[in-house]
Amino acid sequence: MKKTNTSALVAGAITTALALSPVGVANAGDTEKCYGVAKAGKNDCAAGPGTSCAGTSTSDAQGNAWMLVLKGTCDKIVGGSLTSK
Amino acid sequence: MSLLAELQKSFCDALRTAEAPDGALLAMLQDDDLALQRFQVYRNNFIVLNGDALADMFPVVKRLVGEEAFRVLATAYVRQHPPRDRTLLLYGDLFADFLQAIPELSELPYLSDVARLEFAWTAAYHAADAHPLQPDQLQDLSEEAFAGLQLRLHPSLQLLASDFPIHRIWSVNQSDDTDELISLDEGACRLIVVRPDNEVQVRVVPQGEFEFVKRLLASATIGEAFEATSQTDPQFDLGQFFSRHLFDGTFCAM
Amino acid sequence: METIHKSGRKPTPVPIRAGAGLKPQHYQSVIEDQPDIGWFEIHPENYMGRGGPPLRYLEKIRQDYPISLHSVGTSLGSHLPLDRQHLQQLKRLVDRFEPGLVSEHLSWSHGYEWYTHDLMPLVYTEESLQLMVEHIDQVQEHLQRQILIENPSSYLQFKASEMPEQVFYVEAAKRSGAGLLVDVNNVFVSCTNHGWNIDDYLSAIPISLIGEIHLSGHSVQQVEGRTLRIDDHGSPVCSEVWTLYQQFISRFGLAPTLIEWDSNIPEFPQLLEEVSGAQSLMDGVAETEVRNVVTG
Repeated sequence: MKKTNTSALVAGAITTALALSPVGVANAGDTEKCYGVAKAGKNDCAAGPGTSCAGTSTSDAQGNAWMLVLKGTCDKIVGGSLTSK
Repeated sequence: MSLLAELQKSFCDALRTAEAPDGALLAMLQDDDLALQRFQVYRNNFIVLNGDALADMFPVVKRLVGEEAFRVLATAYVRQHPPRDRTLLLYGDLFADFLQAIPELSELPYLSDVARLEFAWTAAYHAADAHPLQPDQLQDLSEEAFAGLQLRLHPSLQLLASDFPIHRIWSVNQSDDTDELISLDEGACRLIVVRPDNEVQVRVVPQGEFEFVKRLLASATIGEAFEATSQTDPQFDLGQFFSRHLFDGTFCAM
Repeated sequence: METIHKSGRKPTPVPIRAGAGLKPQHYQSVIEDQPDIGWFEIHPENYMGRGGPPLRYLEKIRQDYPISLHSVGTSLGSHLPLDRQHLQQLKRLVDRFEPGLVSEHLSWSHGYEWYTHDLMPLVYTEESLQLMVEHIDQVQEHLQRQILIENPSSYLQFKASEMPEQVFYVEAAKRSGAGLLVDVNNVFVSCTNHGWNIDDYLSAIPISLIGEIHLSGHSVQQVEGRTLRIDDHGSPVCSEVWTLYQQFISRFGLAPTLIEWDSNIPEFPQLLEEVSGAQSLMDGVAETEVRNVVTG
């Protein structure tokens, strides 16, 4: 009984979708619409900033000191039982 | 070990650490009093270029913690999880787990789920293309056969559930100029990330739709998935779901 | 070595003109404005996703322009074996996009289980040379075509090196049958960073092996009172490198010439200006050659 019911409901849902299905969606418009967002490539053969000090930074994201530089939009997120802010 | 292997291995070791490279490596370099600085050019490049790839993958996480804190996190991640892949397209697959494991970040409990969403977005962006399911592929079937069908979901499709309103956090932080307050009391959300054609979509979906698609992903037939979903969520409206998504590229050709 | 694909088409040759490194930031300008530019170069690693927009953009741009594949991830100089999967992905892109040229660097990026994604310096020994030749050979075998190899920018030298870079570079090409992609900016950067003589470097290069030329900007940094030049591709080509380029093409003849600009990426018109700069120098040399033939 249940099986028949499921079959009928599924058939009904698909029949409705078939009846509604659009015929050929036009895809005119600008370049981004045609091909999608152009996300920057990440591999290249250029060097980074040279001798500036990033690679010698010893910050290892452990300990509280680096949290002092936490200066993003996270201060716009409030409430919630888990936060201590 | 050959000279080449030894040299390349110690070079890699030295790239990864923050400490001064060991004497053995420096002893291999021609010394003109700049040997250490010359080596540091490579170490900088390694940290910065791979860190840039993370910044590109996780722009919202970067906005949330700020540029400087993101650099600290990215540098630590690059050292702990150097790239395992020949391309940087999907570098950062462990970044969400990495953030979650940092005790100091427990004040931002939503952060790792935001990272998961950002990674899922890029994974969908680069996922395989597929032809959408077409009505004529179903038209010839008998209605009785529908419930027994196994639908194929688009290869880019991913499900994401969070205890936090990460979709709101993610959308509000798409650009730099946001002043909007978001309350974590808005609560949990369930998301479907999919790229049916060119555009990655992030859909906030009700529980029933989420469960139904989850079961289809686990290879259930339409009938099985529908029955199981109806038990946990009697409100689930299959007709409405199929009318919207059966032929919009969420499902692909069988 | 000439490749003919299943379709019966040959790869579209890269013309002896100036071209540009293709950046996603410029896709739209390239597609909508169809600039008069000889060819574009891409890094195949950025198109190794399974699908999605990058491949669609490339498909469209390839319809209008010849392209060159400039790989950064093969790690030819690595002590580890080449990655078969990466080679297969490279082959798939070569088959699909039929590039006029394929190139890779005289460098390594795979020293452990992980990848540096940056071009690491080689030790110039016979051992290292043999391995380089073997690896170039394997890539050419797998792709069924010749590749070009590029001289790197480098910042340090190993004591164990047994020969000058240019000897290693040219020898690697000769023994493997590869061609040379001479990066004139890299010649300048490495020679000035190490105090090598630029003319000695260039004199080692056989004309017949040159298949492509690269140009780019670099940054200049002062370290402990000395100058180090960093190949960051983040600015216009500097005047010294333009001069060196003009001398180079006057001496060796013309080859497809690429402007690379990968960081601080400018608006497309500024990149086009650099490309035009290279093109006018090429045109100038071509004219002189014609005059010499007529009067000589």
